[in-house]
Parts: sequence; structure tokens; C-alpha cells
Amino acid sequence: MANSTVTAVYRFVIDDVITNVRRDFEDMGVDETIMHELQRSWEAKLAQAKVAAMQPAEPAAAVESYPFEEPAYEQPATTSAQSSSSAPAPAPPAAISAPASSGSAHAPTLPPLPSLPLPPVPVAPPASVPYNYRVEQTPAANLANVASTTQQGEHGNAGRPQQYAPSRKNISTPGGGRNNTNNIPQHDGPADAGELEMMSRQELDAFIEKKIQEGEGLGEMTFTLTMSDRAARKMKRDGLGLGADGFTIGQVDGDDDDNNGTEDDTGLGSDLDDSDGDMDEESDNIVLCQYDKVSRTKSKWKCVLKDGIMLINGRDYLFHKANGDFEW
Amino acid sequence: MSQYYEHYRKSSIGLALIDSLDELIQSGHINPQLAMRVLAQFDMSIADALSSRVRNRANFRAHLDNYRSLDDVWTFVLSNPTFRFEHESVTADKVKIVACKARVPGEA
Repeated sequence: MANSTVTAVYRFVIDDVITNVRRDFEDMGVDETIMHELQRSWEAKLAQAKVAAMQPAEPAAAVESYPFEEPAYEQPATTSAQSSSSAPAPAPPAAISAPASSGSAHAPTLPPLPSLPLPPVPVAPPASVPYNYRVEQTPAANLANVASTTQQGEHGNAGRPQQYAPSRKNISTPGGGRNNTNNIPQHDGPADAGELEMMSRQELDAFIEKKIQEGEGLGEMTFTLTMSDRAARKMKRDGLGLGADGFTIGQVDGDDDDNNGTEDDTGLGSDLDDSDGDMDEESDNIVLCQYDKVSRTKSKWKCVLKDGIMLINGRDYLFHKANGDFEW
Repeated sequence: MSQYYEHYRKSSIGLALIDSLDELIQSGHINPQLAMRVLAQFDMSIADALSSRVRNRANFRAHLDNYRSLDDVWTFVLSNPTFRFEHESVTADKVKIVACKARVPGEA
């Protein structure tokens, strides 16, 4: 029941967002087909999540009004090549040269690494370590953009919400990186210059090319990237890949934690993170809303909530107002 | 311009958008800066949609396992909640509620 309005509201939100970011895309010189691709991909993912009855309307509407499926990936080749000079995905030569150039950029920093010259780097906030690592995973062009975003400092606390959503870290790179602006190049540049990083990037590029040529969606690509990234971090943590120089730098953060006597796995989090974790691990069911009033009498709690999105048992529900009675 | 909450990004629709933006960033089609603009727009759109287009009311009861209030954000962890909408009710084992303070109109 409540679920039937969900579809309509989501449709409104998608249309509203797409309508209102058109200008931003133009300002950034990003082709409109990319924007439509974003919309198509967004709708597809939402339908895939099956949280609302999106399936019937979505794919048909998307295809009808925006028949761009294939061109979406070819046109950007020129667009992004103009604007960012190295577009890894569409053109195989460019894709190969991109990692090569970034690799050579890092190469000079490689030799000193084995001797573990730990610079007196301020300890990065633990939560941001994975973000930094991922920054390096993005194409070289994006790395530059991350840096520029970081300097501009728009959307100051933009990274915050993503801290609760571990699998979405990539988006928050600008926000996450801003907390320790200067550390990004220091920590991760050298660290990721290890052989494993180079290998995985080339593999990645090959994989991307293959996907592009096959005309498949890019969803699997991101998945692979995340996995290899995670695998690399796991290796680092396990002390594997001792020969890979990159990992010694990666332990700059780890070393500091060790000196404090904390264990490697748990040492990544501060007290604040730990308490977050306790609250976060509790449930997949989540209600995101605003509160008008929260009151307590002895062990009875009452709260008046509004404008909520609920994900309960895999379905989304929305509410305008909700009254909650809890007993503690 | 007034501020909008970002916590709705953790909803299904928000996460789907983030995933899509992520892919476009990874493939080099957009830069993170543009993605942040899109997310900022999403914050506005979802807030508008929820306040102006949703009329459902709900009631729920639950056992409160854990609670926290930090920086005007309440977090409740409930067990065995029962949600009652107008025409249906839903139960679950656990649910977490993240509630930001409702913005008073006119206040930034």
C-alpha cells in the first residue's frame, strides 16, 4: 500500500535530479548522453534492488525516451578525451598509456621504499585510509580531478554519510580525501606503485576494454575493481606480498597503529568508529527520517518522525509522519 | 540556500545513484566533482519529494535496544518492531532508525 506510492516518488526524484543537473553537466562539458546514461543506470539499479515495483515502468520508459544505449559509450570517448586528455575506457591505446604514464610518475619514488623511509606523516583518520587507497584506483584523469575537488572544498561534509555505507566508498573520495588533503599523494602514490598495483591496473584496463568492446554494462567492472582493491588490502594486512614495495608504505598507517599497541584489524577504528560499528551492524532494515520530537518517560520512549524512507525486509516504504513507541 | 540532509543517500534510491555515479567515475566519463553536484541535487530532490509528495502515516511499536543522540541525530536500534500503515502492517526482527532533526521552515 505504502509501497505503491514509492514508485511514483522515486520516479519524481529521478526526473527532478536529472532535470536539475543538466546545467551542471553542461558547465563541466560533459556530454548529455552521459547524463542519460546516468539516469538509465540509476533506474536499472533501483529496479534491480526490487525495493519497489519499478520494473514495469523503468526499462521501457528509459529506452523509449533515451535510445542511447550503445552510443552512450562511444560518444564519451571524444568528450572525455577532450576534457580530461586520458580516457582509459574507450580507446585501447589510451587505456594502456594511462597506467603506463601514471606508473612512470610513481616510479621515482619506488627505489627508496624498501628501506622503509617513513616520513613523519600525520596519522590519517583511520576511516579515510580505504578512501585514499581507492583514490589511486581511479584513472589518472580522475585523480587529478579528485585533487582539484579537494582544493575547492565544496560540499564540506559530503563524505560523511558514506561512512556508514562501506561498499560506496568510491563516491566519497573527494569528501574523504579532504580530511587529510595533503596525505593523498604522500600515502598512496608510492604505496600503489607496487607491482601488484600495476598488475591489477593493467588487468583492469584489459578487462574494461573487453567489456566496452562487448558492449556490456559497466556494473561488473566496478565490482572487479572493488574486489581487487580489497584483495590488495587484505594481502597488505596479512603481510603477504612482502616483496611488493608498495605495501611497506601502506603500512605507514599500520605501523603507527601498531606503535599504539592496537591490533591491525581493529586498530583501524577510533573509539568513535567502534561505537558506530556497534550501532551499524545491528540490522539491514533501516529507517532514514527526520524527527520532530523525541521524549522519554522512564523506560517509555515516544518519537514523532517525518519524511522517512524505510527499508524493511527488502521493501521500501515511505512515510510523511510516523509515531513511534519504544520500550527500553 | 538552506542546507539539505545527506543521510537519505543511504536509502535504496540514493545508493543506486551512488553506484551509477561511481561507475561513470571509474570509466572516466564524469569527474567526482560532478558526481558530488549530482548528489547534492539528490539531497534536495529527495527532501522535496518526501515532504511534498508523501502523505502516508505510520505508527510503530518496538523494543528499544540501543539509542544515541549525537549532533542532533538520533539513532535507535529496535527489535521486533511492528509498523502499521493505513492498510498494512510490517514486522521485522531488527531495524535501525537514523533521524536528523526536522528543519523548521525558515531556519537554515
